[in-house]
Amino acid sequence: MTVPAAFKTELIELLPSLRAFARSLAHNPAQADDLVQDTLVKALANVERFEPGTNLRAWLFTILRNHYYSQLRKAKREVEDADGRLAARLSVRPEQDGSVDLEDFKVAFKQLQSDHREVLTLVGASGCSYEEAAEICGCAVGTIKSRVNRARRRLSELLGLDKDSDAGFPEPVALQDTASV
Amino acid sequence: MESLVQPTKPPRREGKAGKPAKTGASSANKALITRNLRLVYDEIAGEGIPDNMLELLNQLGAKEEKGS
Repeated sequence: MTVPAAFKTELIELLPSLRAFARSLAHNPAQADDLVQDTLVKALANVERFEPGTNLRAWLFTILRNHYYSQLRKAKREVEDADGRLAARLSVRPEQDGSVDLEDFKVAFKQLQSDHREVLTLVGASGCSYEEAAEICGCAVGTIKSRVNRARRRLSELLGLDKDSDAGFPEPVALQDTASV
Repeated sequence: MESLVQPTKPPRREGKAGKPAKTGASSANKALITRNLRLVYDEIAGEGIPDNMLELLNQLGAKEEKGS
């Protein structure tokens, strides 16, 4: 199959964020990469439907998301159930400097419901705008905004973070600088 | 609503005294969550591309399209 060079280049550039998005939905890295692989196959099979110049990331993420939820419906099981229960047994405590251990963070993150996990990953890690996230998730921008807020609040609770930590709380120091994505 | 191309800086609703908004986490917590989300992201990005995906992509012929 032959695709425009720019398409292939962009596809490769987008793979890390596609994998990260899949990981946020699927929990299990192997299942996540299967999702990505399936997404690539679907994307390439339908490459003529993609309009050059439009948002390839949103297009790919939407394919992946639809595929994930259709698989979930087919399997008729909530993947997050088992993982969530397992994760709930592990307690998370913030460090004294206000940061959290990354592994603890992952444990807490897994306990979020899937719509919270996906918006946090889209907006917080992949750098999607609210509009782009709304396009991917097939809902209104306002829904994304409130979902992000709820997800952050829930995650703060799960991480045992002080609600009033704004009051003179120092910036977390244990985390390396990741200013740009 | 204004353009929100900087998703790490959603519109602030907190008051100047640092009072957390009713609907969200405090800004320190938001920053912490964003940092950790990016760390997780960086970890995954740092893993490189799995072989099976590379194989799939390598099967693709790329046609050069100048200016596209």
